[in-house]
Amino acid sequence: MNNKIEILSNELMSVIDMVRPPAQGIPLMFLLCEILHRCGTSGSLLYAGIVTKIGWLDIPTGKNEDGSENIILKFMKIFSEEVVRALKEDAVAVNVIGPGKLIFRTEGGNVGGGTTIMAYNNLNTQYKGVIQ
Amino acid sequence: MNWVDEISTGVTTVMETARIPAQAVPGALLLCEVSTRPGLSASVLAGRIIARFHEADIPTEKNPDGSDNVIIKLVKIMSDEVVNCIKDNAVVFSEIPSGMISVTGLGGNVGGPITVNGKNDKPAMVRGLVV
Repeated sequence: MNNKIEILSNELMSVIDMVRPPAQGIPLMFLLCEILHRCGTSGSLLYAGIVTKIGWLDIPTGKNEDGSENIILKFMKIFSEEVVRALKEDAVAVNVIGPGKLIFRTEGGNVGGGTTIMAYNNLNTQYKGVIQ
Repeated sequence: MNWVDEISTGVTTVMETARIPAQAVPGALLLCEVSTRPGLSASVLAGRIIARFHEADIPTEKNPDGSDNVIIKLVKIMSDEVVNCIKDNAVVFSEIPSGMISVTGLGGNVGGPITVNGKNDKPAMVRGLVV
């Protein structure tokens, strides 16, 4: 452990890990509306957001005083693009549908008459998806 | 706020306004894509970032005085933490809209066999992880 800042940040992490509650579900209507409007991740957008906040912290975002290029900006551009690329091209979202989460309504019949059947999924089902 | 800040803020605003919602990937393509994905890796992320350092003229070798290159270490740490944060903390919420899943059932009674067809009739929220 090198210095007090490291000790403090480690303590802070432990406390945060202890007190953070599990993520709560989002109400279905909100989730549906939100999903329909989301544009997906974008390296350029992430980069623009970082540059904006770098400016707020008074970290120089223009060229260096000697006229040379600002390496921080170039570095953040590469970093942003690669993080988003990893999410879009490598990451896999593994989801699970718990028992009873899906409700089916089915209809059919035979000579005895029509029948309507209500059914539930009765096993955990895992499926995979990608991140856009 | 200097001109770079102004431009980046402007770009962010324009992109947020102009970008259209993400389109769904066709089911068959998605199935092929998902089965071949390796998952997130901090080493791969760090490696790809360092491999692009030449684009920004950032040195990747040791410093002239023989000391370690701090930027490389920084990239490794940032990549580790970004990937760990996503893998350990992120939760995926997805929604299965009503009518999206079709089912066929077979059964019977004294009147003979019955075939039923139906769909999920209520939306369901599903949770997941990013790996």
